[in-house]
Amino acid sequence: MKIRLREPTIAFLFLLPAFIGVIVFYYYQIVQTGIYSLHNLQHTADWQTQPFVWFKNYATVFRSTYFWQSLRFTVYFTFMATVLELAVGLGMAMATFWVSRWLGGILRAIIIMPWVIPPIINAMIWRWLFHADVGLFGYILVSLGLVDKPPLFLTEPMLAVHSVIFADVWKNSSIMAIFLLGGLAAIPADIYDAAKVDGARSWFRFRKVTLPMLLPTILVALLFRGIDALRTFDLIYGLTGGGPGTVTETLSSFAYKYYFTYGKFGLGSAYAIVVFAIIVGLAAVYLSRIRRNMRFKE
Amino acid sequence: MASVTYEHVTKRFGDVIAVNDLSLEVKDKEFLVLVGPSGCGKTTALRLLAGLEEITEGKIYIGDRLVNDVAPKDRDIAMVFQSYALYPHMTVYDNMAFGLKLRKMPKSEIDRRVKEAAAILGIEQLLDRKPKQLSGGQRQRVALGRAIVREPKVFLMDEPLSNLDAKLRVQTRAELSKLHQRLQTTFIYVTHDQMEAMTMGTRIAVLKDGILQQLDTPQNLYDKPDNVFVAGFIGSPAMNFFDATLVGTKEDMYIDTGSFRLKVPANRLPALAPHLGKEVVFGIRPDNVHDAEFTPPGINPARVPAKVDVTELMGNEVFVYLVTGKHSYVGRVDPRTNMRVGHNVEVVFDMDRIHVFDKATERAIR
Repeated sequence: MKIRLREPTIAFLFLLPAFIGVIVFYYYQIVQTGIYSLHNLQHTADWQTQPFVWFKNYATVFRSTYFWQSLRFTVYFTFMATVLELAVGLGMAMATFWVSRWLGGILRAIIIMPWVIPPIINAMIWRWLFHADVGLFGYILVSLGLVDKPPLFLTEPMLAVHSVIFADVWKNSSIMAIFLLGGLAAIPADIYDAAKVDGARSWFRFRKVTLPMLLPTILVALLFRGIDALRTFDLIYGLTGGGPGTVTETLSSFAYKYYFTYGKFGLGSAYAIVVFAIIVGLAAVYLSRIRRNMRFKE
Repeated sequence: MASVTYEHVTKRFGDVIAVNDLSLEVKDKEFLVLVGPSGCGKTTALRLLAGLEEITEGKIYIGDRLVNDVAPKDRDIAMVFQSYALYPHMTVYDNMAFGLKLRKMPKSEIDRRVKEAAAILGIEQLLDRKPKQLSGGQRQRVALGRAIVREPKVFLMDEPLSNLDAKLRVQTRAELSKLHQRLQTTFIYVTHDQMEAMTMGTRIAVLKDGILQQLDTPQNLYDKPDNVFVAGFIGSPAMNFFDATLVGTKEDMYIDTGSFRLKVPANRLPALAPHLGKEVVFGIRPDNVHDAEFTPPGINPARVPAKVDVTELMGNEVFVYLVTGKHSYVGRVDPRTNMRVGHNVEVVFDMDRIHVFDKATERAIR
């Protein structure tokens, strides 16, 4: 006997595996973390046997100076990294866009390279480049006679903060450039020609035509990279381990420490939920922005 | 207001020759149409004049001024693009004012010009809108307005009507002609549509493969095409062509297509005499193929038997697709015709309106 299904039913069946996957691998963990965060939970003890403490863990998080310090660093890191990545990415995108087709192809391949490297490998590469004794950067600065001895890139607090940002900019400017290249390609060539005939010089064309027309793409790219930067973990874990002290600790790396270094699962969970809430808020802005862009296109 | 002169202008893109040794003079206040099939170099010719492409060889003058090395903005031209190329982030007003602001024109003067152009085009109520809120026809007007406010010496238009629907296109065609009369400025207009060219142009330049085929008034292009290409390109439905041989004697000559034979009129004999015995292309427009029952007066008739293949009733006329021997051709006959599909009929060719081309060179024999 043949079973006949209506189209919505078939569609639902097709969606079911992905749906189950998302539930099992995403939402279950989030809910579980939420439940953990309400318990005074050490190590991996069964949460059901542990005392329920309501929002005490959250109170601890918000009272902790470490939380505020890591939040400050995370926000600073996110702001600096995304702004610099936008600047560098825009430069690379413009350069790639305006050269001949074959050279543009080569440049695109070069640009995408840093982004392809896994984050943890990137962190390791930069750890060596910044190494105080054998690092290439220190060596170059000394050879040029700019400093007497190699700077302590990763152990001097101010230097460490900006070294981390530098490493992130190096890696993620490329994805920004790729985003912006898409936006640039979507601007019709006729508009540039019209601007030329109208009398706009190249800098003016960039400011009055290219930039405004690229703005929706820029906003989406900034939000996308911003959300990514807020969650930064691998780079910190690999490059500084949050040090010196806790200067370069991000929200995510700190949550990780609560879990796995201090073994405080309840507190770590509260931490993770707070980070999660911040990112969900930003993602909501991002999604509504994308939806508006779609409407523009129509 | 200015004339435009192309002097042996060539443009190459790598190995491709887009414009090949183009020499052309556009008179002051003329509405010149560049027409040809896609890829014929008409748009490139226009972009060379605008300064958006660099000239490979030759010279272009606007008025008496050589403009080869002059930037687009300093050529005193305005251009309307096929896509309109409006700035999507600016209002209609700002779109029109942009070029003037860049020229540091006083605000009051900009305002006067924009309002005046908007009034001419009937878009005063749209000045605060963004291009996305406008219909295709309205956008087209804004693009025109942006050109008008500049008060340029020459208007360049690159297929400005091809994104409009058929009805609006016909309407806008007439409005563009009116605008040209009103502004008394040189217009250079690119199109692939021979109908647009015929209805608007003071003169028409027909291009093919980057080479100028003929430059003449619409009526002359229609009546006296220089070669087979122009004859076939101008006019709809297109001219009927037959491979033929000139037979007989210098005094009594015939066009022999293999399917039928036509006596050459006496006034054509001297020109055709040197081609006696040679292969030619015989051409006749559908307008000059008549139903024998409704032969109009004052023509020089030659009767040809034919079989009706298809008929298309257009209301004021009927297109009949005819077959004689191995040849198929189209006639545009009186709507009262009794011709029906499958009928064996007689049609009449107006021998005063025949075209004969050299088979080898495809040039008209006159």
